[in-house]
Amino acid sequence: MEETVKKFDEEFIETGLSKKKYTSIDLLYSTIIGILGGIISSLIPFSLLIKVWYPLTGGTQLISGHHVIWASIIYGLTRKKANIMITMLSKGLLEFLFGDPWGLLIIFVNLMEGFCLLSGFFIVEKLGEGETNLGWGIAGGFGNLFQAPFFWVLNQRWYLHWSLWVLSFMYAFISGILIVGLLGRAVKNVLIKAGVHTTF
Amino acid sequence: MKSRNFYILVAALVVGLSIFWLNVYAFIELEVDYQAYQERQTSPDLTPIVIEGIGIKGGRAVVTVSQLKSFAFKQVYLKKFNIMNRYYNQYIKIYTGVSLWSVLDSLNLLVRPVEELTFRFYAYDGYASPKPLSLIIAKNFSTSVILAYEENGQPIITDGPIRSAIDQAVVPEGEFSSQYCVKMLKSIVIQ
Repeated sequence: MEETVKKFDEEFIETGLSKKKYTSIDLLYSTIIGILGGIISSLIPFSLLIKVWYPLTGGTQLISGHHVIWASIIYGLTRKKANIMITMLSKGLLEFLFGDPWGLLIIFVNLMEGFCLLSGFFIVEKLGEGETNLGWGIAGGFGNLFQAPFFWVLNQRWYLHWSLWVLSFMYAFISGILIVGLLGRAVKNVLIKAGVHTTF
Repeated sequence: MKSRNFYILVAALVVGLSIFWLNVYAFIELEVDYQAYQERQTSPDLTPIVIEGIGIKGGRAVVTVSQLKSFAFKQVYLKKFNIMNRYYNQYIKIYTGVSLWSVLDSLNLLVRPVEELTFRFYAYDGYASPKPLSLIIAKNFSTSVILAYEENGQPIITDGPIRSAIDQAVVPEGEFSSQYCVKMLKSIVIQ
């Protein structure tokens, strides 16, 4: 009885699918969400939301979480860390096919973002915060830290003022907390409540 | 639970305050003019581009974007620029703009021989090109070092109204033209 009440509280749909067993629907979710993310990342200039009012270079990091939110949503729906990598791989492939100036490197960048997010989730789950806002926020922050500041490192922009570097990393982390973590978790919850089947 | 939320609140406050004061510091240190940044978007043709430094008569001269577009200077139309980034990815951009050398030459701004001078670009957002380049490049390749105001025949809006553009072919070996194509150009330092 107690178990039934608990399940009702969580409002998850019973799927009968295993958390460990990998299924076709996992692949479908990952590729669909990855492709969606790839199209949006390539074609929609979200950075304009920041550029019109914030003058310092690196400020667009505040919105950069939209590149990684797809991976947190897929993790919420499937609870399989490998799905994060598949989603980011399909997203990276799409960005490459759309002619990203970084070429094949963009696939590696997406995979690294996925790996950072995966590591973040791994750590917060070990700390017992796997399903809390705090846990998702921290995991998202880690995931998004490997964002454009990484490009600055690749570009060796050491000539930029140190405060721009620090602000850029802080913005990337905050964007990760807010967009990848908290918004990703909220979207995941809404999707589940709307009837999207989980695979765990 | 209460103490957990309290710690989260404290952490958020520390981060928020750090960002606030870092912004204040960066705005002052990088001399960011917020009003000019906004006006750049609302009235692009009136945006001033400052040419300054010890190589300039009086140390400073100002030209507006509309002046740069005039026929007083050599205009370069729809020229293909080969741009290369640090990972050796090359791509083509088509820019229309005014030759940097023609601006300096027509206004007779230089106080020292061109061989002794360098130029460096600074942006409204705090970005600057990596290092000063010899002004001889701008003189010898006057149509390959430009202040662009159109990309693919359309005005440069978010990254403009002016951005510098340099073809990879004229950039010194070991340098990458993408880092010298400075968006939202604010000033050019000649020294």
